[in-house]
Parts: sequence; C-alpha cells; structure tokens
Amino acid sequence: MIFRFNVIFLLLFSYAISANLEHDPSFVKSVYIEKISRFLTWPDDKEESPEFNLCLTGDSAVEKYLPRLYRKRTIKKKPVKIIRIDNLEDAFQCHILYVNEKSINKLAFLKDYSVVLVGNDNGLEHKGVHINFFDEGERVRFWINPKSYKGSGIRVNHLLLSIAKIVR
Amino acid sequence: MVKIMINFSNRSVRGKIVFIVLVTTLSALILSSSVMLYLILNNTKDEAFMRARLDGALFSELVIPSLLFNDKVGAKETLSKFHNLDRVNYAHMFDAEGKEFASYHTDTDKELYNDKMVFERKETIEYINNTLIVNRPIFYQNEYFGHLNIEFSMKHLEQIRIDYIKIFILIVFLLIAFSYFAAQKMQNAISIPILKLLSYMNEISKTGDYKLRINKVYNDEIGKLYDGFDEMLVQIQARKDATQKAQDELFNLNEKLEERVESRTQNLNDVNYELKESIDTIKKTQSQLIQSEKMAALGGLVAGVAHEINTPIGLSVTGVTHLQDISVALKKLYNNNDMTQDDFEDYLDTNIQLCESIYINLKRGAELVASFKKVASDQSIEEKRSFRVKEYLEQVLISLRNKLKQTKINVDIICDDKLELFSDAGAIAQIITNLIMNSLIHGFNKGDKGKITLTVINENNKFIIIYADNGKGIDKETLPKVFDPFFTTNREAGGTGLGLNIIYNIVTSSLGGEISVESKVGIGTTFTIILPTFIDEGIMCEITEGGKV
Repeated sequence: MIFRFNVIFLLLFSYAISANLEHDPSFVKSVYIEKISRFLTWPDDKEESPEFNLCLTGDSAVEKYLPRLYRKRTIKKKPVKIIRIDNLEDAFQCHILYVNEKSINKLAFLKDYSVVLVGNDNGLEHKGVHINFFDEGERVRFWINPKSYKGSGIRVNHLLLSIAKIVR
Repeated sequence: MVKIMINFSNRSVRGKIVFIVLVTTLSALILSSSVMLYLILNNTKDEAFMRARLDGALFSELVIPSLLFNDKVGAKETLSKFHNLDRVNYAHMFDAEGKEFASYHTDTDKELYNDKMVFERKETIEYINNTLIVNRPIFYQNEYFGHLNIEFSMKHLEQIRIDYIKIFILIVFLLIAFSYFAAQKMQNAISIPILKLLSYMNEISKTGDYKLRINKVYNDEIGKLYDGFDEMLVQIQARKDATQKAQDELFNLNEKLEERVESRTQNLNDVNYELKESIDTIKKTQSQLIQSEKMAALGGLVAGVAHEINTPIGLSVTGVTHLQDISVALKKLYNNNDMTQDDFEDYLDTNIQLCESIYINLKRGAELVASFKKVASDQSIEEKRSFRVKEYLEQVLISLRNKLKQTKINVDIICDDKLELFSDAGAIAQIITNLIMNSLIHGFNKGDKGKITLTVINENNKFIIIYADNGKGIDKETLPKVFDPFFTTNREAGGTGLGLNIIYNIVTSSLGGEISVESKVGIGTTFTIILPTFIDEGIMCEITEGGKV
C-alpha cells in the first residue's frame, strides 16, 4: 500500500533535472539524446537495425556537437549514424529526428511512424514533437507529450517520465 | 505433584469441570497466542524486511534518471521523499565511482561522505540494534550507475510487540472470565442431573424401594443415564426376587440337608460304636493271644523243666523203692531171726549208697525246680529287679535245653560275668526265649548245624543285646514285615505271627528301648536290641570265647 502510494506520489511529483551547465546547453542536449534513448524502445525493425540513425532537419545548435560526440560513442550499443535530412520523405529511416519550429509543420505524416521527434523550441511539445528541450535556469529539462507516441509503436520507460515535464 | 493429583481427584465434578475448562482454555490460548505472536512478529519483521528491500529497489530505480542525467538536485528531491517514510533514518546515494551523489537524513548535522566508497555490487541487508541497513547497487540495463545506502528504523517492531502483548493479556482476562462463566453453565448442565440421580440413589438405599423410577427430561446422555439407572433398578428388583426365591429354596434344602446329616451322623456313630467294639475285641483277642503265647512259652518251659527233673526224681524213686525192698527183706529176716550180721552190714552199705544217690538226685531236682521257679516267676510277674545278665541268660537257656537238645544248634553267650542290669528280667527272658524259638522254627531246617550268638555289651550308657544266628536268613520282601502283628510264614504249622511283634512291643513300650533287624539270605539274621537302663554303669561286656550252655 505504501509502495503504491510512494509510486503514485513520485509519479505525480515532477522532477527538476539539474544538468551540468559547465558546458553549452546544446552540448548537454546532445548528450541527453543518448541518455533519453536508453528509456525508449523502438519497434523490432528499428531495434534490430545495425546502426542508430540520428537525423537532423533544419538548423539546430546541436548539429555542431553531434558528429564529434557520437563518432566513437554508441547509442543503444549501436554505432551512431548522423544523417542530415533534406528530403523529409527520407525521415522514415531515422530513430530520432531533431527538428525545429520551421520543419515541424511538414512532418505530420510521421505521426504513425516510429521516429522520435526531438525539438528545442518553445511550444513544440504541443505540435507533435515527442521530446522538447527547454532551459530552466541553469538546468536543461524537457517536455514529453505522451499523446504523440500513440500509433508510433515507440514505448517510453516510466523513469523517463519521472524526470520530464508531462504534456497534459 | 502427587498431592496435587490427589487434591484434584477429591474435587467435586463441578470443580473438576470448571478447572479443566479453565486450564484447557488458558493453555490453548497461551499456546495459540504465543504461536500467533511469534508468527505475527516474525511476519512483521519479514514484512519490514521486504518493505525495506522494496523501498530500496524502488528508490534505486527512481534515482536512475538523476544519476544518468547527473541531476543531483533531482536526486536529492527524490531522496527527500523518504521524509514521508518516517522509518528511514538516512539514505545515501553514490555514483558509479563511489562518490556521494546525494543524501537524505533526519539528523541534519550529519556529515556527508567525502571519501570514495567501495561497494559490493549486490544487495546486502543488515539488522543491527533495531535498525535495518539496506545496501543496493543501482543498475539500469545491466549497467552499474551507483549505490544506494538506506538505514531503516525498526523501533516500531518493539512497539508492535508491546501492543500485541497488551492485547493478548486483555484477551486472556476476557477469555478466562468467559470460560469461567461457560464452565459454570456447563457444569450445571451435568452436575444438576447427577445430583438428582444421587438424590434418588440415596432414597433407594434408605428405603430399599427398587420400584422408584427417575423420569428423564431430555433424550441426551443424561437421559440415557437415567434410562440405564431405571433399567438397573428393574434388574435389581428382578434379581432381588430371584435371590429371595433361591434363598427360600436354599433354606428348604438346608433343612433337608440337616436331616440327612443328622441321619448320617447317627449311622456313623453306630458304625463307630461297632468299630470301637471290634477294636476292643481285637485288642482282647490280641491280649488273649499274647497271654496264650506267654502260657505256651511257660508250658514249654514247664515241659522242659519237667523233662529235666524227671530223671533225678525217677532215680530217686527207684532208689527209695530199692531201699524199701531191701528194708522189707531185712525186716523179714529180722523177724524170722534169720538176719545175719553180713545181711545187716550189706543193708547198711546199700542203704547209705541209696540215700546218697537219692540225695544227689533230689538235690538236682531241687536245683532244677529253683531255676524253673525263678524263670517262670519272672515271666509271670512284670517287676524290675537287679540281676546278673550272663547268669540269668544261662538259666533261661536251661529252660530251653530240652528244645535245643533236639537240634544241632549251639548257643553262645558273650557277656561279662559281673554285668548287672536293673530291668524287667522276665521281659528279657521272654525276648531271648522268643528269639531262640524263632531261630529254631524259622531260621534252621530240621537237622541243620547252626550257631546262635548272644552278645551283651554296655556302651555309652546303653545296654546292647546283639542276637545273631547263621541260619537261612530273611528275604528282602519279608524283612520289613517281621515285626508286624499276625505276620507269619508258618501259619499252617500253627504260627500266630505274634512272636516278634511281642518282642517289638516289649522292647519299645515296656523297656523303652529300640530293636532293629538285619538279615541276608543264606548268611543269617541279626537282631540288635538297645535298652537304656543300667544298674552297673561303666562295666563293659567282655567278649569271651563262647562256651556252650
């Protein structure tokens, strides 16, 4: 009983995540992408793919860190392939697609596909982005919109929810 | 313990029921409650352990994102949730390198760990001084992220124990009260019907009225007991009637039996009287036979002595007759004056010789008569006197000389000449006479040469006569019967079977001695007579070369 109470209590309580702000927030977000991936599970076809496709569309501050950061590091024990998406129709292959406010409007067709959309602009969590980073003082935090995952086949570990802000 | 058992046994049924119910209830309660208390406390402890482990597992999972995203603030906030669990004394969270990452503790003054800690990468639980310390590694997807160290207070267990004991004591008192009430009710249900039964029993035992009946109220065990009691009364009444009937019959039988006993007793008395008369007759007959035997012995003695004195008397008569003849002839010569001097001198010489011969023969006769008189008078008068044994035995043998002369049997007497005995001499004479006659009749065949030895000795204040013959002897079958009255192997020749029996009676009864017999067929027979009375103590019979009497 107490256990349930604790779980409910903790689930209802939103966490503030403190991040190491000695670095550039964009760098931190680049690092967070790998850590967030640990709490996400893609459908089998993508889980079994030999590479982890980390895609980018539009301008993004993280672009300058990702190739250097994941040149040797792995995500989900897979080598990371940084893909620049110019033709949005190629976005199906991505595990994670880093988007901005301009490109989000064109990506509604990915709603039912197993591509996790990650944003960095205010309000994107209400526009279909699965994870949207925001700064809270010196800490980097992120929104999660559970509704956006429906139909995508992607599962989110509850622990990720415990440190994120949930879109209601 | 035994005294307690006796006290319990002497309690009333009511007391026993109350006692048993209370003891049983209390025992069951104590036992079950102790087991329950033990199980509850154990279970509570186990539950506390499990909750501590679960809390450890939960928090070690909840802090994973904080560790992963290096969010110390978030980790501290997560650990601060332990505040809601007032059982947690402190919680420390360490990163993978062993550095303290975040902590929570009720004691705000407690210092943080500055040093790197090294943990085993497995869960450990320690219970020390009412505290439970859980060390749990933090893993996510098989990757070690750090360690969580939580100390739980277990003081609430002690409180639970005290609470349970209070409740237990309260329940015990309530149950004792309830049990006592229930036992009282229960014993009423049992003791009242029993007391009713007891009341009936007392009344029946006082009045003896077995026709009384108890009417049962319920058809339970007590009701069945009443039924059984009533049935028992019916049976007792029936048995009483049957017993009365049997007693009447027994009384009648007793009366008849008494009559029969009386009749039989009368018959028995008659038979006893007849038997007594028969015994008297037998005794008289036996006495007459003994007397006859004695007279026969005396007759034999008389015959023997008469024969002995016949010769001297005959010679005396012849001498006297010759003296008379020569006296008459001399007188005639004298009257005729023809008597010469020579005639007279011849007469005188003859007269002197005849007188001498007559005197010698008459003296011999007188001696024989005196001897006869002594023996005969001894046999006819039972009187004790002092006498020299050897001399007396020789006189007895004189009375038997006529019989002995007709045989080739020699009788030797081996005894000290001076040995004297104070006893019934006639009895001794009769014993010796009967033994010798017994030997002559039964021990030897007619014409057999034989020897009878009479040895008399004085030994250890006992007078011992050993009578031995070397005749035919007595076989083993006959030997034990020789002293029996009327037992004889020579009845056809006029034997009465009383000779040895008389000897036995004289020795054992009259003289107070003992007699025994030994015999071997072809060797001979020996009678040993031991008499207790002596007149001349200390003189031993000397064994002399046996002279023929």
